[in-house]
Amino acid sequence: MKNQLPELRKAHGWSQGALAQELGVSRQTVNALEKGRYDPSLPLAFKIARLFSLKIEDVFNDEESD
Amino acid sequence: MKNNVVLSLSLICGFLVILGLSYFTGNIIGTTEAHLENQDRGIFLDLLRPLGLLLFFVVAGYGLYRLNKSGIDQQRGIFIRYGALLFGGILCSIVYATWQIRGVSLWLIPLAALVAGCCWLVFRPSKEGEATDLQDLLMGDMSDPKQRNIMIRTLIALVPHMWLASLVLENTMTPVSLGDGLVQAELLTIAAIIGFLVTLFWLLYECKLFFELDEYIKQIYAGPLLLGLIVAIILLLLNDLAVRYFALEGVTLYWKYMSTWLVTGLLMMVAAIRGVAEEAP
Repeated sequence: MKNQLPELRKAHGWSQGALAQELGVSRQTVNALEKGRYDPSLPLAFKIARLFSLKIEDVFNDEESD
Repeated sequence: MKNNVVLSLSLICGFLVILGLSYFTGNIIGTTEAHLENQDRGIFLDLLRPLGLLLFFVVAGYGLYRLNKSGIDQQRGIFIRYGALLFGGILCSIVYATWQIRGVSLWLIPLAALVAGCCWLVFRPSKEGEATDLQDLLMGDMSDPKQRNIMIRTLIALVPHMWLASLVLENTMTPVSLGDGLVQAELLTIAAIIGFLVTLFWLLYECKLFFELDEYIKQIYAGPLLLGLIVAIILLLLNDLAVRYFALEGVTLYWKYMSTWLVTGLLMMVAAIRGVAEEAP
């Protein structure tokens, strides 16, 4: 699954560590999410979307549906 | 060969070196000296160990060389530093083990400190705050206060635990054993056992805290932890076989205990590598 996390994070001027702190997860998690190695759980996906005031589908993009 | 396979193999080899050295130094320097003196092991076994160690060094070195050339990460040269860390840690261990007549496994402490410190220095995030993939190879993020505290506490717990483990498991802490009568020495024995158990539970608690950091870490390490347990049991069984086959009377309960921790650590590191080195879709 692709996501806009790196772009959104940079637009807010956050480091991966800072974003991790905002989300209450580890920096490793943010790194894995950004690299597309890990798909978040639904609660975490909602948390991320809410943090950026966006819908989940605006942050995460399921390639198969394209 | 895929990068993650090479990286896993090189780390496995690196760990085997550590295991081999622990065993090697443990038998040469440790309390098992008396056993070895009474054995006629023959030239084959005398040659086997240094040759095995040499082989491990060569394979681990080759793995690191291949990784440096493979371009798994853009920061070339980082593998060389990682390799230097690994081998530096091992050298430290030899020096430490030679120094400490009974501190066979205490070398884990300077090694852990070395790796943790360099992890923070060498693999720190870029100016934009982006961590390198390699930063995730070593368990724990020293820039995260939560994780850093867990690691520091683990290190603190490890010091008395290793010491007490060597006393309790080798049963050499006092000249008496339980059941010899209620004397001061026996109280010391009981205190050492309690201390060993307390520090053991402390370490397990810290592991639990790390495991529960978040969902990603849980997913990455759940399998290896279970596998570590299974491997530890197999190792204990194999260990007895190895003792018989190589006539290595010196293999103590302490060594078996230590190898359990080391194997679990190795599996967790391999898990982290798999998590990091997998190519993004």
